[in-house]
Amino acid sequence: MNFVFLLQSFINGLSIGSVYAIFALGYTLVFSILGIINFAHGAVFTLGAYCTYALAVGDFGLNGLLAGMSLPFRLPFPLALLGGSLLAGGIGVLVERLAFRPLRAKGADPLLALVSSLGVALILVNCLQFLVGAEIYSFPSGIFGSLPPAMVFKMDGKVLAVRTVQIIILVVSLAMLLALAWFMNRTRMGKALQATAENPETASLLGINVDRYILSTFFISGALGGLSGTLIGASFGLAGPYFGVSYGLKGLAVIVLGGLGSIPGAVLGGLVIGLGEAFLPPDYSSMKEAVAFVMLFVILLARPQGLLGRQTIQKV
Amino acid sequence: MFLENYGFLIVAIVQQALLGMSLWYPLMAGQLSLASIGFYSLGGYIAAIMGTSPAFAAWREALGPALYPVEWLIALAASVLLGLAVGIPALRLRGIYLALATIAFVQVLNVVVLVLDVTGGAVGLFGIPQPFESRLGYLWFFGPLLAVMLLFSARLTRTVAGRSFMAIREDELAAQAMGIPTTFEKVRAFVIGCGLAGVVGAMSAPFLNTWNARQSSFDASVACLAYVLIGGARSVWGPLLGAALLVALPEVLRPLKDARLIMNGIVLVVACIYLPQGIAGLLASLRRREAA
Amino acid sequence: MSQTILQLDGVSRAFGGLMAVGDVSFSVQAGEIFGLIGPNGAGKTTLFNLVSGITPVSAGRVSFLGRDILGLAPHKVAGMGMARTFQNIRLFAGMSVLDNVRAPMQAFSRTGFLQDLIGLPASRAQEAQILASAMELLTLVGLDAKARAAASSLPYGERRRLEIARALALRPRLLLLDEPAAGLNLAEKAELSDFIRDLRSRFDLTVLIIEHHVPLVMGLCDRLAVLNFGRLICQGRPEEVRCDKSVIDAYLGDSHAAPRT
Repeated sequence: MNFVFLLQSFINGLSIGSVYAIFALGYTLVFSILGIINFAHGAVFTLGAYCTYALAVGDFGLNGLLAGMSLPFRLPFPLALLGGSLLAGGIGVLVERLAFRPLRAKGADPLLALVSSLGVALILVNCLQFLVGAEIYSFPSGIFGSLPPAMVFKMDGKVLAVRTVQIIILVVSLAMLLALAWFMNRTRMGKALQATAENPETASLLGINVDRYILSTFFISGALGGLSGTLIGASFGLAGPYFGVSYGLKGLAVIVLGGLGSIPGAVLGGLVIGLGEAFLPPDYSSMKEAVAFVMLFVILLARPQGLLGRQTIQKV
Repeated sequence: MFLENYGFLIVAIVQQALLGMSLWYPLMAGQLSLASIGFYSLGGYIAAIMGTSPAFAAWREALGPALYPVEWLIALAASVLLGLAVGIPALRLRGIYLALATIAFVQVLNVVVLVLDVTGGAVGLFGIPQPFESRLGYLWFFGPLLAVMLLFSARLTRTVAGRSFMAIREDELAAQAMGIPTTFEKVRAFVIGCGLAGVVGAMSAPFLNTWNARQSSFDASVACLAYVLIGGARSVWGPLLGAALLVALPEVLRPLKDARLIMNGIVLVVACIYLPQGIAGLLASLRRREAA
Repeated sequence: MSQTILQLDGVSRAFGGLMAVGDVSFSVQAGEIFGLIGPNGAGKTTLFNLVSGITPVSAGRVSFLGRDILGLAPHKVAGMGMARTFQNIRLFAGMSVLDNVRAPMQAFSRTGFLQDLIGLPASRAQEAQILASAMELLTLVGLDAKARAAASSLPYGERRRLEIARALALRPRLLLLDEPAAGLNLAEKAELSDFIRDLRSRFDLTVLIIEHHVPLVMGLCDRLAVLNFGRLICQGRPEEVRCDKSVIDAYLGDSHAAPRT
């Protein structure tokens, strides 16, 4: 096969795969601490992207309540990214308060928490639509300052293009993963989070404030969601308030493939799906969206605990 | 006058209630399946293709109005077969894993219909011939089906199979230990849901006049689930009550325009927190309190 | 000539490094009340799970009514005539008391799904019969007045009785009872003992019972097997077993506690 094509696919796959991984980590953190899937994660992903857009570009379009308005300031992209992610973290906390906490207090069926998070997602996305309408927003090409939009190489007469945004994605993702690994393993808070995820009752007996750690988890999860949303938005544009839905579903494929609750699993799953999509032969490019879900279906039938998950034993 | 203005709404409620019911049967056996919407899409495409494609022109000529029942039967058969193919492997999974497998199935199906020519790609199929002049006419399709399915559900709870379903829902392991063939029964419940969804899809294609992948979006799946949960998953009337509330609400709130979809989300969250047994459960507990 | 209902040969089950059940062999004869005793964690419930097919066996063979049942799905084992109760009572909580007892009777249904739905005469007759049989069983355990009540509304003692009635609905040859006397007072334990004897003669049953309360087991059982740390340390008639030194050692704590209960 064509070496340049393979290399291009590899770069593309690595880039998109690392965003999938970051996004999926948001699901994984919540799942490991509460044992449920937060279906509002896709909405937080979307909102994070829009927040960063607001901070960096600041002009709202023709529809919605905020039509024609703009923020009095503009932030450089790195700061906007940070701001957007932090705001998304806050929204994550809001989701926890609205959808999960009341049900946890009642000891309700986990299914209800799932549907409740779907309801909150509906509220968030429709609020967004109400505010800024459904049109497409794109980050302008000068957003990365003086950096060129892409680096182009000529090899064997074929063209290899590495977009600047892809490099930014790789750098940011790697930094995020290292930061997360350091946080989980080297800080007191991170270790307490792991303990709470392992066994909430014992953790609370040991004096760990379980509620506070649940809040922190949702904050970090939301921030990761917002960060990944922004990176996707910077790559492909913000295609309306519903653009996070398909990523939200794809993220589910990532975490199941990697193993529910496994952090390395989320990373592996993200990369596998990203590379799988990128290496799809061009003739089948219209089936790209199916790749993640075919993998999901197959892994569920063949090995439901995922690539890196542990097999659970049912107790009688 | 009322009927003219609200005819569409009434038919929509009945149609959505039927979709909700297709989720209700697997749920009766404790299985959370979000696959119904995929079979709804399948049934709709079958009817749309039979209604518009030149390949079926001869059929349309020969059958006339009898085309519709034939469409429904073919949709039923296709849904049952595909339901078995998907259900038998997938129903070995429990809880959230099953739900995820069904979500994956629908997503793959959506990509397939976008890619194939016969299904019209992204645009879908349109200009599906309509047997009725007004929307209200479709009550002749959906109404009897709803009546039949309500009767079916009521009878089901009083049969051997129905008790097996409920036992599996209560405690699958104990059900196995009591001799109930759980995989077989779960597949049966699942296939009933798939078959119903397929028939509803076939009836809905002419009703909506066009058919495309938007019919089986994830939002549509969530809506079906919402009808059942808010109406009450343990009651035969649950899906109808839920559909009545969630379909009528945006209409009632029409003045709010875009904000009415936010209302749907709020209703969902509030219902999960305060009405875990759904409207039917609430009514049942009110009746019990009166009787006491 | 007494028939062997259940036969275990070298049955073992390991969970990772832990040997929950190790090389256990015994047989249960028709009409016996066979007791399985031993300290907590000895592997008794695991053995039940192995025999009923819920947990797969790591090594050894189990045969029921002369047939090898290794690898058979739990519902098939139950269908052969083996019913059980659970240590933690696993009722169909949201269903009525009556439906709990009717549910296992699906095994004897001779009518099809559609027939039942339509309500053809054969199905109606069968439903009437199921109702009658179920009510008989409920009357036997004293729960007929509560037939329509939700199973979750029953007090503890009645839930245990319901679980037994449900198991009987399967018309079993072998009944496995997992600590049926747990949580009952002395008078209730004596009642239960008589009840089990009565069931044995009324239904021509064989009973395998896990029990903690040594006096009850001594009075009720024809033979005993004693498990400790997953191994069979002694088996035989109650009089033989109670004097066995290894059994006394295993029970050193419990035999001192017994007079107080």
